[in-house]
Amino acid sequence: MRRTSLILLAFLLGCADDLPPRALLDGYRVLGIAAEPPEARVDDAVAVTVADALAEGARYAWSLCLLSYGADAEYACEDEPIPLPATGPALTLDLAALGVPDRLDALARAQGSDLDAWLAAGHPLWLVLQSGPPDAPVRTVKRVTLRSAPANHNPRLDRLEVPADVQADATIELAVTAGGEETYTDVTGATAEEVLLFTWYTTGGTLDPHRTAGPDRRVKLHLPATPGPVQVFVTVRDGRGGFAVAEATLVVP
Amino acid sequence: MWSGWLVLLGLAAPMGRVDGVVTERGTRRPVAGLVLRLADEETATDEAGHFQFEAVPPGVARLVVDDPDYTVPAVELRVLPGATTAVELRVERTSLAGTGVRVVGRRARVEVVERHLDADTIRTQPGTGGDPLKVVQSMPGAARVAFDGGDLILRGGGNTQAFIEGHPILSAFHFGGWRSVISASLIDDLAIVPGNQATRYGRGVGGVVDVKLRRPAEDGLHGYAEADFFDAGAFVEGPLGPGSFALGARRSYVDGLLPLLDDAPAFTTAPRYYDAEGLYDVRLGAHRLRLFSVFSSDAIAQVLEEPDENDASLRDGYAIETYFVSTQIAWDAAFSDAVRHHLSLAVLDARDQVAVGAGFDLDLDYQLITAREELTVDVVDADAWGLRLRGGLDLEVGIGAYRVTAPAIPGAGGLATPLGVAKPHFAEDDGAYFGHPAAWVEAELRLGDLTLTPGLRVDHDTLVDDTAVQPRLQARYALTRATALSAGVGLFAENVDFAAGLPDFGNPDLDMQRSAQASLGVSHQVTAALKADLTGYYKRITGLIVTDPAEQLANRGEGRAYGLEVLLKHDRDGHFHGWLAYTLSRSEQRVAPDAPFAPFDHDQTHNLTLVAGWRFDHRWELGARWRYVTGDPYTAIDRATFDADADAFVPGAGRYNGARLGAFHQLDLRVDRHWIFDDWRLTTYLEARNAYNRANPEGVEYAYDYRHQQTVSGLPILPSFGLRGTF
Repeated sequence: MRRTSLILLAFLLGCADDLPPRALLDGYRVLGIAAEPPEARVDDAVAVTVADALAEGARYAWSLCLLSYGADAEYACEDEPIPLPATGPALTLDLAALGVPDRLDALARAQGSDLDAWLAAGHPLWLVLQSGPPDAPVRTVKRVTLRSAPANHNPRLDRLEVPADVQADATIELAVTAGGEETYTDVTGATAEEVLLFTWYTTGGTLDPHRTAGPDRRVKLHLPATPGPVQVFVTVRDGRGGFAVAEATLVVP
Repeated sequence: MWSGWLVLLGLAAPMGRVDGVVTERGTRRPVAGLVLRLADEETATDEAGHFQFEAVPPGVARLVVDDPDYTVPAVELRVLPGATTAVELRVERTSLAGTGVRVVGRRARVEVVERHLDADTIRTQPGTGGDPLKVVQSMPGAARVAFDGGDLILRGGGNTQAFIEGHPILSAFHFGGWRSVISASLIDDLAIVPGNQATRYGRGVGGVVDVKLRRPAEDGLHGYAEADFFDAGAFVEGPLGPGSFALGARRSYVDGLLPLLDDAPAFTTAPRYYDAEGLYDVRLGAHRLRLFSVFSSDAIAQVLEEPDENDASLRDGYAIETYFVSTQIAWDAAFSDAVRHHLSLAVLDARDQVAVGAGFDLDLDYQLITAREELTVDVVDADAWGLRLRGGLDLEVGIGAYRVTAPAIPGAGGLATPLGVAKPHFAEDDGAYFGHPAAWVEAELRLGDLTLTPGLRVDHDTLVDDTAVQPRLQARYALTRATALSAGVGLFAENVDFAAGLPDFGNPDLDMQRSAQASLGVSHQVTAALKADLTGYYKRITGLIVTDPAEQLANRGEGRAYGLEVLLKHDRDGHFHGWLAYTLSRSEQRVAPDAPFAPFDHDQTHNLTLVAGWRFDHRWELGARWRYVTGDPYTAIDRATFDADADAFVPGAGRYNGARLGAFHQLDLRVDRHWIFDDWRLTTYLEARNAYNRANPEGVEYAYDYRHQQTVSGLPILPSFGLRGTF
């Protein structure tokens, strides 16, 4: 409840925020990681691609963790992580070739369970990516959920609409067309429908807002006063591991 | 004398009689013991303010009030022969002392240290807006809380418990720290026991704050209406049947004022709170019955225009609605001069509904029943020695139903992570319960100047099936009439929080946290008004509940706190009253036996409070409070991991509480002005919190990726105005 009072205070007094905005891309940034499919069987092959911005000169190092302590322990791996040979922004995760079924079965038994039970409930594998410039690498984690009957699919990002003609120091509207919402059973056991979450980025100007959700799929971009190219990105997540990204480039005259 | 003979002889007119009553202007309360003179006669008012002059020569007579504490305009009476002249006098109290301002650091017979604050001191304390529980932070051993919050933290770590007459207040503040749910109106005394409490208190390894209720007025109907920047309230009390009653209520109007402000956030339910309290107190011979009830309700809801920058699960908005009603009935009986009995029962009914974005949803409907049975027997009460036995049962039962979707509960050493990355748990129950039975006994043995109080308390926690046996000993020795030593040593145990014992959110295999505490103090009455107290203490906590990657929560941690408390207080003996409270302390914990110690969240090495009040006359008073407190420790974040699914950066902690905020210092000022009318009085106050507008560091805010940070400052200068009409 103390947190509640601090939230209240922050709202009532207003926070002077001089910190850099998240929507402005001013250096290397990981926007997300797409796994196709986002849910897989224990011996499937999964195509993985990182969506990153301003990635010139970036380096990539991947590993796979079969059992993680999660966010509270900074995603530390409970067992020995499996290094992956890929050094670029994409890789194919061949679970059978990596021996995941056997290793996961051993882990499940060591914890007093069995692989079938884990797969019935859904078991997350954790991809760990170290990427970016060597002097300022970014650590990213991505779940790939293994199930005996995978159900989830990535959402669709059909089109990112940007105006054809833009002016410096002007405000334009960006819009995205997306779909692929699915129904699922939530943690309470109730049937729920996915709410798509959109995150918007720009390499110049200011975005308002930075995030939208559900049917809100438009944002305003106030373009910089100086001429030059401006890249805009939008990512979409279904909240269950599904991800897609789209980008466009504007040229401010 | 001659006139008497003349009357007997029938040669003079018969004498007259004067019958009157004296009440105080502004309060209408009777004034007892007031000396009055009429002609050559002198008399004094009785308890009801009545006076009589039986034989007064007819004619014009001058009634004189002879008391330096009161002023009254000269009264000339026309006394008629053989008749009674009725007089009703209103006198105005001008004394600067004795109006109830009392700040004491007295040592009770049992507790090693038990400090007290009375209602007038609470009401006029600068910087608190008259909040009865926030005043606790001006006393030794109490930590300052950021943003003027109201959390009660005594002597470092451990749960400090707040009680009303020995029964717990689970939500002592509106919105968790904004303002106390209890108003100062019904408080007779606020007892603060920072540690080493006697066996009557249990279930916590921190200190105790116990609100003692006063008896409502029995001399007529009284009350007040008041308003300040945040809320308005009314209170009425008076005799009713064989006893007396009090009723009060208060409601905030922040929800009404916010729309008037430019750029004010748009709330679905603007923040509002209200509370009400009622008391009935009756004495029937050697028995006393008291019925008390308090009600509180808070609500706030807001729709967020966009999801949080770093936590997409914080979208849509949040809504908080809580209420509780607590009712207690107490029976005190004196079976003889040597045997006294106390039985009280309290029933609390509460509901908390909290929804934050898509990641946290709580609906908790619960009842807490507490009962206290206490018996005191004076076995021997001789001049040379005495023996008093006390014992009792202390029962707490909680029942309720909950429906919650939330992450696991962080323990000590845990770092708050975005809701969107935490693994959500769901639990639902329609019949959960826990029981906390306890029994205690103590013997107060007085041997001349030495008083020893050995005691034993046994607590059981059914939630985790753990029993704690806690022997304790208090001692007091009067070195001289002015100087006394006191000491205490004992074991303490703290019940496992209900949610922490649930399998989904915590760990049902937890044990109660244990603590060993010792303290030693000396007090010296320097002058009639000036008293000094010095107390040293040490506290060790074992089985501290900490975050555990495998079990969520575990008793792997330990803590310790030690320090020195100084209280130098000057009671009002004229214009001035005030005190100096200083605590030099260290409180630290470690999350595993082999881990290094780190400070507790409110470890404040130096905590100095200076309070001064100057009463210019009986209408004007100026108060000031100045505080200097070492900045709180915090865990600096020096790295982050991007969770690509949650679209959130998850912080990586540096050394736990290894960094520290800058020092806090602040001056609060308050001016009170009283207007006294015949039947009522109007009091206004103007308060300036943070009078020299210092930007006190209260926290650290990070950019989305935790690579940049800035200090969050506390409240700027905050003027406040309030008024109260009392009758």
